Amino acid sequence: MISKHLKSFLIHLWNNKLYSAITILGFAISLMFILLLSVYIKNEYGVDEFHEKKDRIFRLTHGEEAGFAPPSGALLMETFPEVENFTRTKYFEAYLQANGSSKVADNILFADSSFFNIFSFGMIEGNPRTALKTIGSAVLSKSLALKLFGELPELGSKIKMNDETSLEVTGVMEDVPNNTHFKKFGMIINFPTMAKVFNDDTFLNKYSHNSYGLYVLTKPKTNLPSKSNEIFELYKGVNWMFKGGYAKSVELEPITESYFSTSHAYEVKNKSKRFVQVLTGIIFLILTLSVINYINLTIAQSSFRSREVAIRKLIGGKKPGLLAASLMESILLSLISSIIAIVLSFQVEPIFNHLLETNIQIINELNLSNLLIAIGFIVLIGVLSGIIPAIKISNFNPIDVVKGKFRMKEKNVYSKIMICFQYLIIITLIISAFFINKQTTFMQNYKMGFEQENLITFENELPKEKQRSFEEILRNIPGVEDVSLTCGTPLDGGNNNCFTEKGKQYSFQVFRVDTNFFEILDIPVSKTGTAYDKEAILINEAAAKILNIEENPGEYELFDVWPIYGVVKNFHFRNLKSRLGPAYFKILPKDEYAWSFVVKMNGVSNQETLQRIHKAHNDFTDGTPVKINFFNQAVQSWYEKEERTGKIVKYFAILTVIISVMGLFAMSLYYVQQKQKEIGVRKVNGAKTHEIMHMLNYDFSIWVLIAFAIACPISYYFMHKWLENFAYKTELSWWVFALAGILAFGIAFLTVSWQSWRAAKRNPVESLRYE
Amino acid sequence: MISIKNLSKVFRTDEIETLALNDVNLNIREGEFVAIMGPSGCGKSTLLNILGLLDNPSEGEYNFNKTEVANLKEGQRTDLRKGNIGFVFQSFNLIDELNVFENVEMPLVYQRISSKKRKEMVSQVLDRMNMSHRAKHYPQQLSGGQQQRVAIARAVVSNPGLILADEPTGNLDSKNGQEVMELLTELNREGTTIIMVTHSMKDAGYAHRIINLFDGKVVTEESLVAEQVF
Repeated sequence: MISKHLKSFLIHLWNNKLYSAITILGFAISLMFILLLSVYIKNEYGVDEFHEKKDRIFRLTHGEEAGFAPPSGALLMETFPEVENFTRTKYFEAYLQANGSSKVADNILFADSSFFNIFSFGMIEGNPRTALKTIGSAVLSKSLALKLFGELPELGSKIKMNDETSLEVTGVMEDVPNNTHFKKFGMIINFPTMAKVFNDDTFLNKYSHNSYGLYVLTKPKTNLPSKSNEIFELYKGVNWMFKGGYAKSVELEPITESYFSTSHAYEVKNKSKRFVQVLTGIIFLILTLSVINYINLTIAQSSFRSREVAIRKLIGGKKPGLLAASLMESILLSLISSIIAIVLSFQVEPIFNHLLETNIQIINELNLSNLLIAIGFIVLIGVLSGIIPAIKISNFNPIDVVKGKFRMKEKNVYSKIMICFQYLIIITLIISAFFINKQTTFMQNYKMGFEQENLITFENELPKEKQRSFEEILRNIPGVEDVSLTCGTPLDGGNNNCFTEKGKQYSFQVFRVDTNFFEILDIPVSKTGTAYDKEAILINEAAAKILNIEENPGEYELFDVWPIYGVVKNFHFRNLKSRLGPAYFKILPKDEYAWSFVVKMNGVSNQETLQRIHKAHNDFTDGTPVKINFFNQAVQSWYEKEERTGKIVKYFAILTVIISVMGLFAMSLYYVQQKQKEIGVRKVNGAKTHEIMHMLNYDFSIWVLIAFAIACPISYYFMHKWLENFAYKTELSWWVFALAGILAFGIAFLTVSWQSWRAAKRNPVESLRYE
Repeated sequence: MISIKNLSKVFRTDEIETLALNDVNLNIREGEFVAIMGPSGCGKSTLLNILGLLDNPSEGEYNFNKTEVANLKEGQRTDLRKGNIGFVFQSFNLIDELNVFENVEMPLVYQRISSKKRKEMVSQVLDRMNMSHRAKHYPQQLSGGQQQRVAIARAVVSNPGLILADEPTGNLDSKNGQEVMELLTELNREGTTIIMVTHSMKDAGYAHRIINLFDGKVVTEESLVAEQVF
């Protein structure tokens, strides 16, 4: 009997292709997103779970930063017996060369020999215990090894870093996987080697520089995190950063949480947990919407099958049987939709990965346990969405149906609320998408206060003796207008100097620049009149304000020895999320090492000029790779995250619109079917087509209006909160809300109007009963 | 008032073609009470629909009140119908979501008559039908006979010249049925032309003339009243 029932169901589906397509496709699209998002979220929460000792590994942080001085780890281990081991880290970009190979640029991690003891990264060659024990020892990742040697090298092979430092290959490790909080690196070098790189023997014992990561492995059954206050006190005793109040606390972050850490470090990916939580919420929302739509659609469709059901009942079908058959139908639909969803997922996977900056592979998730979970889920969804319609259908009174008196006397309020709810979501999403886009455009077009066109910058890979010769070479390249060497550009923000002046604490950015720096970047400087001398500095307007010397800056001397000979107009050197801060500028002596080159091109065939610059650098440095950044591209990339967020919200809005429109379309079809008789009666009594349409549209429009009225304050609130993240923000203009409302009405109009037009046009004799 | 020549109507679906009316000729004078009879499926309701300007014939001419209307477009037919033709159906066809008053005033709303005037006209006609006390009630709260009375009220509220009734007593018991037929007769005496489709010989007896249809053709006509009346 069930199979016969299913047969008539399938024929019914085939005969109502529009309905069936809408139901199945809508469901399939929703399930596709749920699948993709679920895999993504599962991966995000599973980061760093592969470390064997994960429950005992902690990353040290202090507030929003996570940089410590080199001796910090040893001090910790001496003082606290809970510490079994520790490692320091430093992330670095460098270029490497094996004998005769070309120079390869890659990311390096400096780490202590305990690294492989603490973390469970796989080693292919070499002994994890001893690989990083000696100065100059390096463990290569498989990919880098192959790039440098063409094959897995013998242990003991030599490589050179940055043309200066000699390293010995003591191991080869698996490539750094995606599911760790560490950013990818191609090589680990023994940490103390850094003293050699910096040419500073005291480096390892100093507390002056706090930019190194610190991880500890605690002994089993101990509770080191409970002693974070004591650790703070310990460091306070020896480290200016803690003593001076710049670092106000010490925390021990479990390694499994570092992926979502709010404490920044260069070697660590900083992912937002909030983002993943929002995505989880989105999954539930999509699921709810789809199920609601499915329920409505099925109930609507059921009135078309009322005859079949009534006849079955009259011939002897019983309620439980019909109920079971109905449930089987929705489980079947759920199954069909799921299969389509899986197929769609494979197609959409690459776009999804790009959008969310991730690398999920659904194919990896196809194992037995996941399959069972999936089947259970499909059945559950089928039952959940099918139960209400099934109960309704099995309750049809056959006599009513046959006598033609049957009508689904539905109190349509519940479905009207459903419609309203969906429009509420659509409108909120549209508004949010618009505003995120508005803010991103605002930031991208914001006057940063320095020239961005035709400017490029690249890191100085040359020793200080050669940098000025190369500057000359650059100047002579056709197409190059000007060249400046500098320690600090608006792109990197310069150095930070925290100091106390006249009893107050300040945090300034420091730029040490060539004399033509301001010219090349087109930043106005107004001289104070004070004579220039060796110690003289320039300050920016923000600095003048904060030091309270806006009136007569020329009369002030910073630290009592640095006179101020000019005030620089404010320019932004952080992204627009932070307020512009104070900075001072010193002239960089010609023979001192500069961090970067800044080159201004003349705008005529820049690409060719760029090629010449690349070639000149190649020739000058024997093939050292160099990464050249365009100023304007670099600035745009500050807002990549916002742009991505905007894209995600936009796609989600589109998705919701699609799902909702499908549901709304079907619901209006149902609604219009219900009104059939009434339409016929009205037409007989003088109503014209447009009058009928007006009547049908009006009903829906009211609910869209209500949804709009609720959506506006909600989205205003959320957008306002989001914009608080930015020091410089765009306006919450009224016309965006209006536009969203118009769009929503447009959608409503489209979904309902076509239906109502068809119904209104129908000849009344067809809808009025006659023999 | 009504003159039909060589009227034919064909219904086409994907596979089947039905000749519902086959070369029908008919004349109806103003003030007549005509009954159309015939077995099921013989085309009675089709003929009524065309007479009521609800449908177009496939072939032939239809002259209504000196106007040729056979090939008018829908909008034009609606305009012509408004205020000139009233309908009464077997299954009443009242709108469940509207109360009695609102059901009856509907034709007036579409004729753009002012609210005040509508109230006047509806009250008058409800009085006549003895349904004033039920003006705020909904169709579900009325008996079959009462519903049909409301339907008739709706049909006459704008004083149309012609009333078309499709089996008006089909869903009523004999007492209510008789009431309805007496009502129709009364209206006819006041001058309204009535064309009624029916199965019942008894109901047909109220008419001046009976037209018999069979398989889409007029087969006989009977006069029940002497010709001199007209």
